[in-house]
Amino acid sequence: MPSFFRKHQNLLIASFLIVLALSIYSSNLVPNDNISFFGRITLNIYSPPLQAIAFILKEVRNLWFDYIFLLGVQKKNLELQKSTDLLVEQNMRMKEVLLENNRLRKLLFLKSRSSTKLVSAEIIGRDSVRWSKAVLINKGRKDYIKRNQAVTTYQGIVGRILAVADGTSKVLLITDINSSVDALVQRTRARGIVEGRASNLCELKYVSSSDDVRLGDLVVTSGLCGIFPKGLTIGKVSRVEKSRFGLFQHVELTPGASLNKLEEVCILFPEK
Amino acid sequence: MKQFFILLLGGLLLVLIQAMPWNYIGPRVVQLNLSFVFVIFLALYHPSIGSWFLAFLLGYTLDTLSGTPAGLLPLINLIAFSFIRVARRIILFESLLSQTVLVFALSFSSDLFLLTITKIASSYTYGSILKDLIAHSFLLAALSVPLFAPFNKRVRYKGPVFK
Repeated sequence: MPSFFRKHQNLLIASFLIVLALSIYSSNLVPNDNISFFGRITLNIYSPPLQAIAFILKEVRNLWFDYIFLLGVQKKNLELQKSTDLLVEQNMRMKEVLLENNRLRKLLFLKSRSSTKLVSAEIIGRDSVRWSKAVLINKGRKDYIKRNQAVTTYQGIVGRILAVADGTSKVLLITDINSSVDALVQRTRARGIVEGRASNLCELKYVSSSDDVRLGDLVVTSGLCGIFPKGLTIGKVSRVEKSRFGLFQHVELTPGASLNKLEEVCILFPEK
Repeated sequence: MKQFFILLLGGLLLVLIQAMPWNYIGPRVVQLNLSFVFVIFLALYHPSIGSWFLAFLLGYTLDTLSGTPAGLLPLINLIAFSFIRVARRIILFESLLSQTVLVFALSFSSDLFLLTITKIASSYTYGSILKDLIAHSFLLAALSVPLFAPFNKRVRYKGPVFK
């Protein structure tokens, strides 16, 4: 018997490991809220070196841009000053609208919207496999992060929390093939579901051919998927294709948030 | 045992390099599956029992750090490892050129397998992703040359001799 094992040890080990990989794969096909014990350990082991590397890379980048690469800074400064003036003016008008909105809400006995709690986090790792779209952030269970919390930036939504370890979490980006978000075209209120395309683009699926969707239209969250609050920017329509006979039109989106250049993100805590 | 730990450390370091946030320097840094080349390297030059476990472990670690379904990358690594071990009985992978071709072919097939099983391929036509796959596999094959070259001289064919 021992000689049999010795003779076929490679075959036995290969078979055992392949069966193990298959069983892990099949057990993960069912959505599960908990990350596995070994998965959590792996994330915890990789978190400190990734945080250190992210810090170093960021410092190198800052050194380059803050001290060495200063060409055209004055011109940019003037442009920024102009846009700041414009934004301040816009902000004043918005405040007026907000106050008016609150007054009207009170008049209509509507419940005022409570402000959602936000926690900021830094990106410490990117996806190590080319075709899937996920990033690692430096906040985890210790910061009360849970699975399926929404992750955004000021430009638009980024994705949702996929797995949580002690000090790290994995975020599934909206461009991943497994991501889907219920959405609305802001201008026409046409409904659809935004799905990732495993590239830098998304697709707005199931938009009826009769709906009016145009290039440049803003697509926002509908608030129906239970993860993202209503009205957050997802992206802009970058391509529309209407077939003559199909039920739906093909709508491509460019995400509002620059997912390739992400550095900091905000994690939304659901309203109680 | 010492050799196993060195290989383990090397593999885990490659995964770390793969997961590094390169976007802080430039968003267009090419993503290469370095650990896959390492698995092929293990199958060619260190086909021990520990290497089987390493191939599994590297895949599992990558799965954990990325968004792919857990278990898929260990499976791909093990299939590639097994293929090389079986193919070596009938094909000679002694020259650097044949090893580079092997890396290209395995990387291409593994990417295609991953895209099909994760249904990514269904949202594209195969023609449109073919260019990407070929480019990625070509880069990995080119990268394998400096990794394999120093070890290439030490290889001795141990399989049956065909006359």
